[in-house]
Amino acid sequence: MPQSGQEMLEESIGSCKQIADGLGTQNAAWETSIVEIIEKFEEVSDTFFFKTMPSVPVTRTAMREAASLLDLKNEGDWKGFEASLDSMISTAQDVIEKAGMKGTTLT
Amino acid sequence: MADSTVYYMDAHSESTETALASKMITVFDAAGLDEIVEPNDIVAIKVHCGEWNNSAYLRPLYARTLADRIKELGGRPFVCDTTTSTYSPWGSRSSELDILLTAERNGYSSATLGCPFICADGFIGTNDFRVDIPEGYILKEAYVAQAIAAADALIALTHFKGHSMGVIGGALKNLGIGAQSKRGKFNVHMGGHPTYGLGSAGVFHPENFKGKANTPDWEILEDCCPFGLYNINENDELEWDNEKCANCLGCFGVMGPRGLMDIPPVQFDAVDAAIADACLGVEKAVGNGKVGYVNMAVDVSPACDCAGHADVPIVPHLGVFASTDAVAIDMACVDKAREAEGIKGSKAELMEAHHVGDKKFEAAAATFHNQSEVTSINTGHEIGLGSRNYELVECEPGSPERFRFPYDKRPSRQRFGKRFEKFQPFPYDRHDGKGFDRLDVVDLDKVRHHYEDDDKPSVTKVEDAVHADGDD
Repeated sequence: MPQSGQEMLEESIGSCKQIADGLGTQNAAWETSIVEIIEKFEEVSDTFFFKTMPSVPVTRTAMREAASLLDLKNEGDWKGFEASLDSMISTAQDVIEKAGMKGTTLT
Repeated sequence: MADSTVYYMDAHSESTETALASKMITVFDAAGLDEIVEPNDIVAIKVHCGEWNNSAYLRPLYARTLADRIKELGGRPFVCDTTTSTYSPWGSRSSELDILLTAERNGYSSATLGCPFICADGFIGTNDFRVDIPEGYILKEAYVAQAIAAADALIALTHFKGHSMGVIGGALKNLGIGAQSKRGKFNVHMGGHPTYGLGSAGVFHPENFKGKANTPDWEILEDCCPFGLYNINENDELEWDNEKCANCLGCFGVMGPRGLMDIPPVQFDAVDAAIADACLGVEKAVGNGKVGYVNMAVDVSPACDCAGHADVPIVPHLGVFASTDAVAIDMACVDKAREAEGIKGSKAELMEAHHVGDKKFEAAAATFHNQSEVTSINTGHEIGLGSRNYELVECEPGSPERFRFPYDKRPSRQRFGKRFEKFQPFPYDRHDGKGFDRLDVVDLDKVRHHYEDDDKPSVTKVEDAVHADGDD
């Protein structure tokens, strides 16, 4: 059984907090983006979507991308970081959009 | 030593006798389901006719073929489904009027089936037969759709697939939910239950309602409940009369995503157990030894046919199964799905549960974590409805003659010789006997190779192709 969407969202938030820590000294805009992701993720955290199985794929992607971004930061690979940040932002938008569960029918 | 036998054929097909419809009849007979039908028996064939815009439900061909077989046996078949719970504010099968329109759009009508298509529980879904089930794990009574309870025999013709609440949608669910009246569905779904019902176990969060002014679609919060249990009062507060909740499920998709209701996963587990109880209720209502099961494990979609859409199947076609045991037949299908490799690009892969041995339905079909794909099966085993200890018997294909076009079994010359003389379809008198105006030779290679192979050398030259086929 995979981790739940909620667990993976929380892990993503944890990674993002570590990424944001001190990131502003490298690039203030990057830090702003990561802080915004943290805020949005905390806003949707514990909502119904993350208790359901359909939340697993998208939160797993977010969790893995956040972990990879944290590795790049720790390695000081800023070129790789910049490229991966774009992907993380896109994934985060996907998470937030899916959390709205528009058109959901449960039977 | 197995307690039950499940007869099975795989889904490969390369001839008339291995067509899936032919295999369905072969396993039907092998399982002895032909012996369930006696001359003049009224036989209900219970199908899921599919929600509006669902496209994974069973093609009507299977029900038609089964109805024809039942007629051969002297029975009088009808094909049926039941009105649904109002599980969505926009459902397409919640009344007889709606289900007949949806069924017809999906191809289920007397014209296609060769027998009537019936809504088995009446116009609203209150035509039913109450039956006691003291053996039940959680239910002690069931409300079986009247037309099914009134039948002399019943064949559950099931599309085996996933289900967001039941986790699997198999034979047990086809009868445990699908053969219950609307009243019976409220019973199975735990309406009014003091522990597992939504009214008692659901946690309502009216504090998350932001007021009508900030909720453009606020009307759906009241309109999702056919019992009128949600109300926005004069103080602009959302209220819920939870004690009267019937568990129609209509508010799930409305309240859950908005954070207005915590839907309890335990309710889903209780429903899955109750499904087996209610299936036992159906067997009791119809009569001992008069119920048979055919599972078509094809187009194994992650969601049930009650969803208004159908996703990529999670496993390849698994095959055709028949048994007198609802528990064994579903267990056999689950086992086959576990043995199978999940389909690339399907929800099984998306959930990383596509490997041989993975519990694919728990990952790709369930709504909540830790829902089990065997709860209904285990419950059915516990209460004596059937057994999960089964022997799988692979059947050999039947005779091709049996499955050919039945209305005229003569070969072509006997059927068409005289007619072709009278209405000659080939113009032998034109173009020197060649019949039609055509070029003798064209560059077929030019139109059969892929455009991305432009830079690659041609494999077959026109002359070679003409030479190779020259014998003809």
